Amino acid sequence: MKHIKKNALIWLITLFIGSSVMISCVDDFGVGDAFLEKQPGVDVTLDTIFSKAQYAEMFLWETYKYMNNGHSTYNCMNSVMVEALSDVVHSALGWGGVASTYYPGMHSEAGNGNWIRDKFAFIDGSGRKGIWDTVRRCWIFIENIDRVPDMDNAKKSRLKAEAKLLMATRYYDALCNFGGLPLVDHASQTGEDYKGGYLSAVNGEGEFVAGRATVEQTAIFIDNLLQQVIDEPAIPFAVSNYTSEGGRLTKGGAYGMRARLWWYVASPLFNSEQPYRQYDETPVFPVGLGDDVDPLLRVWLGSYKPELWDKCVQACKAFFDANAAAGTPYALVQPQGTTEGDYRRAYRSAYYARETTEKIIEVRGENNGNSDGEYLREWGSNVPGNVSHSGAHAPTVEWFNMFPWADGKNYDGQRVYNTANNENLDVFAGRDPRLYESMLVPQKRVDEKWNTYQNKTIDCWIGGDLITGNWWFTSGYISHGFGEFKFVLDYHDYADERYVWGYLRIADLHLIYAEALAQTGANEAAIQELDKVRARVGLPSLKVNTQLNLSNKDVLINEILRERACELAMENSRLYDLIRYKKQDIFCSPLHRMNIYAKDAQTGEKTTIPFSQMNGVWPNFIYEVEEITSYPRAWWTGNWDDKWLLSPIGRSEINKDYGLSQNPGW
Amino acid sequence: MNIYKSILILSVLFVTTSVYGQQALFDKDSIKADLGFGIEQKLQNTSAAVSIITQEELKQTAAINLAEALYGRLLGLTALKNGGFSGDANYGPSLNVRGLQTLSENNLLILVDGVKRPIDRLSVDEVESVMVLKDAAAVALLGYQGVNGALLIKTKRGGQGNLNVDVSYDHKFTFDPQMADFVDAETYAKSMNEARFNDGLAAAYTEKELALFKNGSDPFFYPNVNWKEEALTNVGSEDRLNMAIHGSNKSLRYFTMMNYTGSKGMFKDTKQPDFDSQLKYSKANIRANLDFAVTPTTNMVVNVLANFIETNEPSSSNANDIIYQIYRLPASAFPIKTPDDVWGGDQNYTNANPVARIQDSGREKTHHRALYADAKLTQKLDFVTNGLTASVRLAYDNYSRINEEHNKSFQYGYVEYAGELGDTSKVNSVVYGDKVNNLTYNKWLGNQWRAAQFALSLDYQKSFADNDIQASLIYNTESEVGMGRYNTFYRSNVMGYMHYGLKQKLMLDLVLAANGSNRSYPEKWAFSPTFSVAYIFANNKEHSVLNYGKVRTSAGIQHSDYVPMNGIWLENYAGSHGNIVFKPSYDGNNWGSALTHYPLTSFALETAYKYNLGVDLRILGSVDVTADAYYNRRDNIMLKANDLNSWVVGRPDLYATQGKVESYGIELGLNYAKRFGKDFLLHSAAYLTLGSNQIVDYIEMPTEEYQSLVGQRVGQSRGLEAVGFFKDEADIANSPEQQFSQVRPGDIKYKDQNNDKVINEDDEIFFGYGGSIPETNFAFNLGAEYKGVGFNVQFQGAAGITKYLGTVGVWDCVKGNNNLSTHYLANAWRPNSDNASAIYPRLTTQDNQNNYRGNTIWNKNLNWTKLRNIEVYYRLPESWMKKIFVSDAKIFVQGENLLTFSNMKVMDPEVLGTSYPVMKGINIGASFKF
Repeated sequence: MKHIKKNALIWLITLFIGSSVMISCVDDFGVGDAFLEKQPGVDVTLDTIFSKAQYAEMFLWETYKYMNNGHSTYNCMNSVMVEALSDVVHSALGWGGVASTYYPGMHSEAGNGNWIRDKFAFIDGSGRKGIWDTVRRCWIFIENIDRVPDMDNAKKSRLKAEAKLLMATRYYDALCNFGGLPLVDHASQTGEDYKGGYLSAVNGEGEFVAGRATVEQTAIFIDNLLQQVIDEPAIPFAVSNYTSEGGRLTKGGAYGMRARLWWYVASPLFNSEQPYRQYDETPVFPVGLGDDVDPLLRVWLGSYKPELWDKCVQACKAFFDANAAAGTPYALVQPQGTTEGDYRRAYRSAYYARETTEKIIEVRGENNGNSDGEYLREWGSNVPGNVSHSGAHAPTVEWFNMFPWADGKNYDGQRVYNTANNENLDVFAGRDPRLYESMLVPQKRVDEKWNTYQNKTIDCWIGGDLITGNWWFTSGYISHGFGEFKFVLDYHDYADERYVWGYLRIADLHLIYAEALAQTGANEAAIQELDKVRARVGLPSLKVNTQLNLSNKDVLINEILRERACELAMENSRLYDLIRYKKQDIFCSPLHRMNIYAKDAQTGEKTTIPFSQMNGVWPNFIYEVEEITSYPRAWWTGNWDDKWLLSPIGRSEINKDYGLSQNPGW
Repeated sequence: MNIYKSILILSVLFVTTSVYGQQALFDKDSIKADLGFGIEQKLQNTSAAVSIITQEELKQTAAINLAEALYGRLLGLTALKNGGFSGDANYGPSLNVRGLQTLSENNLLILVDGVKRPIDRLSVDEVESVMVLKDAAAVALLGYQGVNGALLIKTKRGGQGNLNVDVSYDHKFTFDPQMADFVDAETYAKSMNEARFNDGLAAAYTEKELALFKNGSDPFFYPNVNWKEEALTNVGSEDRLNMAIHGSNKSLRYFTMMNYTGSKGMFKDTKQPDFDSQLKYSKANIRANLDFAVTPTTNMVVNVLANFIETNEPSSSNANDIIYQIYRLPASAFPIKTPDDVWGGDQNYTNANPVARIQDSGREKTHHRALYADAKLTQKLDFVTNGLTASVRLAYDNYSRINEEHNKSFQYGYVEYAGELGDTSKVNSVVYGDKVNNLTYNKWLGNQWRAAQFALSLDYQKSFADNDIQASLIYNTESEVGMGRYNTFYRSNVMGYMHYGLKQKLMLDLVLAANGSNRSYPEKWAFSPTFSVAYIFANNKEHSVLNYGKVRTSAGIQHSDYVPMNGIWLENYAGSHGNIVFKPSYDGNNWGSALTHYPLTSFALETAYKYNLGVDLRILGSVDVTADAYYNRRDNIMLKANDLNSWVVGRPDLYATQGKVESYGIELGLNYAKRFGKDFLLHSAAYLTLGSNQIVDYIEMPTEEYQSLVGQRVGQSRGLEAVGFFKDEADIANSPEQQFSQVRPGDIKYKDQNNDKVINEDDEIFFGYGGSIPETNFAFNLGAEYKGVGFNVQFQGAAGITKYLGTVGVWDCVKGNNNLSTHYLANAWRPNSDNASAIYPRLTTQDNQNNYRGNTIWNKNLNWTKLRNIEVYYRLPESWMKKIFVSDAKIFVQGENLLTFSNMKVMDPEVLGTSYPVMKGINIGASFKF
């Protein structure tokens, strides 16, 4: 018995020690320090990314995602496009950032980076995307791409140039919204003094200056990046094969951006005898961090510099020359015929579609569950399809009035507003075809596919079948009398046409060229450029407006701005035009809406009868125009402050005391 | 506030003047403090701060699991009630010792028989004692994970006698769920009109429609549904059946047990032809704890617990989901079913209908399997030197949960008049979703983990003259492998323990520990020394006043292996959502697109400096007094350091070990137990703990000085200071501009803290307390027994906590079409009325950024006192029982959660939220020992 017990003990001990070695039967078992090795993982490091051409490319493609796309929620104010701050549309979306915080004048420096509170983010935050992450990715790419073994040098050079141009677009976007910026010239590493600000001299030499560079330095920095792209032989002027390369940045984009950069910098916002606003209290800097720069130079050039307009003219000319030399890969999309429908299709293609000659820089939609965001879906994740029903961007009478008559003469239908319209003027007929692509107005004949509207006549007047038969008409879509049409279309074509955001299209460049020429006194040449854009939609020369003194610079500039609103509004364009020209008067004027009534054929009284009860006879109208009262903008009642022309930088970032200064007034 | 104060004062008075927890005071000589790895110290001699509770007192509750029996039972352990159904994983209170000590992890280590194991599935019946380990000396051997304190649970072991059989059965009726009350359809519709009026919008309902809501004559179009009544029966039940067989003989002591625990929820009409979706929980614990004397010098301990669980709930909606929908849905939302027999629902609420979810979505079952096994072999090595022992311990635990679903989807929709109101010929009938008649079957692995431990120790014990010496050398390794990647942790300890006792009066303890972990890799090892002293200045059972007195103090430097993310030292490029494809397309992933964080190169493990001073007294042979004061300081807390980093660099996350927190407090406990004559027994206990903390260093960029977290508590409540509500437009015009959203009369008016004439984020201040652990905790219990008839009552309370009132439907009302509580409506600012007593802002339908943010209205200081348990029992006289071979028999009635006194009336102050509610319980049961 004793013997058995003793044996049992030995067995027990053996079993214990033995099993403890097997404690984790499948994996290796270490003892002591070796037991505490790091856990297994799948780590992706910089070395992995730049070990293979495919991975490196994926890294850059991902970076492309953060280019400015006015429909991306990164850039929207809680799903509202920034254009809702301009005069072409007014937002009726109560929960949207524009109506809830911007219109009441509630925005503050604390809100930058907040997904509903600012039109552009300086710092990332809850859904808003600043530019810095993208800039860092670009520098990482540029600094590391040479390590990739399976890629030839020409390709590396091309991709580097793309990264530089991508960075330049981000800097340009931020310049428009903030003025001068910290200039980042490399990807910072662990252990660097992060708080130090980044400015070095714009040409890669010179002194280290903390904080924000001046407007001029920032512009030169961007210009320098663009110059490097232009000088790079490996990057093509335009993509040769859209199927495999469509959407990638090109040398043409660099030429175009250069014209656009100097156009923006030369505009009165920065380029003026006086800054757009003085500081109430001059910013105080820590010693050595920003105190050697006049903070006003970060939002202003210091004086009026007319030569900048020449620079813009030269840049435009350089673009068009290079374009011609390359066989004109970029050109206005031209209509197939001369009907209104032809013009409309040409225009729609120009601003909306992929694979056209129009887009010099295009930005792919975000992934919205449908491959790579090729289509805008009615209820997709992209703005505006998900918010337009609620009138997120409901067009105003002001915009409506900007579109000329189809004969090229400026619109003058205002005379019948708020009258009995005894002359029976149909202000919806015979207009610039772009009107119908921009907003939904009553129309008798529609020669397009109108699935949503079931090929009906568009009787979107009060009492019309279209309004009473579709729930969204009553829920804000048509808040101001006209429905949003640009980009949302009829809620059906979405699924058909492959879409892309036109970050820079050639129509814009023609108009930029026109404006720069006008600014430098070449009015005749300016009108020629302008007319090219008008011609695409069948409009004759601006000169048919003989009542206008087009040799007057201001008159011509105003016409160019109006033309830009017809061509480019809702493409992050109109708001910035108002900002560039410091249009306080427009910002401060209340906007208008229209009640459209069909006239009773007999009595001439206003009615609410749908077209279906009119025996096919198109009615006459009565137009009641009134001030918009829902979600009024604070500055309509005299609370304007020029500080609104530039966005505030997040206070928490300025508090880091590395030389940032707030823009004046915030 | 007054109620809480008076109860507190009463309880303290009561205790100090007369009274007493357990039925007899602990025998400090036989009960031992367990410091882990078999190192035990007599309660009388220990220099560590511990408190203990035994089976006897645990059985006074009707708790469904062990954790639920711990409310207010242990001095220094804060147990806070959570919502949820009793079958939910991790059901039970949140447990904490000595408040928040750090900005990183504050969780308690829970050990069952010396091994880190979950507490939620243990039954009260299998537990012998629960001990809370509080100071540095108490947790010195527990490694990184014990740094915040520990709870040590000992299960029962075999004892005296040949063969003992214990049987008990309990049945608990649960009822009266603690839920808020909501308004009816008419009131809701009127309130919606009022909210829209407040917003400057047109009314949503006409008078005619309001009348239809009121008189209920058109229930499909103008419904008035009491969702609570339709979905819930308001009663549930719990059952516990326990059978234990235990005993001992010469070479074997055994305790074996089978415990069944069952619970049933309160969903209504769950029995469908093809399934039953009722909330159900059933669990069997089968335990065998064995002690073998293998040889006279060899002992072996084997503990095995097998744990089988099944739960049942509606498919795709767990208990909390259903309750959430009831909170959210107004009575007027839609009918239960439309005239076309389609479940009610609409575009806004989608398939929220709780009745449909219960009755027509199928059911989901879970099957849990767990095995917890450990064995320890101890060999006396007296042949080497007298008093030397070696032991080896091995533990292996594993768990898995398999989910099994029988699912179907239902259609939902609504009807509305397209023409005139009441014109049934023109009805717009909208239906969403697909109807699926057949249940579809799915199964998946819900969770799994495994853990193993291996420990070796060499122990030496010797007494000579007046000296007692004890020393141990311990080597321990543990592995923990959770579900998914980055969840494998290895830890290891090499420790030396030394104890010196002089004349049973002076005790010195020293622990030198080298703790290792791969979690904090590459900084794996840290050295943690702890020293403690106890001096027993009185120990005389016969003394007329002071029977026992001890002062003890401890100091230790300990560490945590906390890192904010696993693998933080690695450079890691991860993807993010979305991608851009240029043809030829890649496979759609976005692997390696951005650096997630700067890899950390300089490591310092979070360090805890802990001090404790305590006194234990026994007075008059019947009162135990324990008092402790502690001060803890945490250093090198790893924090997100983005504020050290400019956004301009492109912003990968950066971490730095810069946080510092100090925490401090006192614990005071009184226990009284006295027997008067043969038949009368009186006992009582009172506990009070006060504790707070303060952030000493933090990484931040406050705009205003008063916004610095330094000097504030961990989790300190922050927000704007409300100074009332805007009376009218003139009031708004005359007040500083509030920049969150456009304000209207009835919106909250805030104080301009920095006098810059605008109210924005810069005016947020700190106020109140933290939001998770109350700073004041107290408990009081009282019991008496006379001739076998006895009662116990136990109160527990807390104060010094600030919680955010954001519960949907209760405070987050009307906007987003949320439900509306009667409480809110009664206390809201109303247009055109005297709002002097209004507590809450106006009703609104909009996303009102001004009102709905942290402020002194929503962040409310809470306090409560709860009658946790009450018990009345009768021990049947022995003389009767002997005839049927029963040695002990007890029948009892127990109540739980029956009374709450609080400054929060509308909901349970501990469970603000939409989880499955806390219910009251009446338990009846009987136990027999054969």
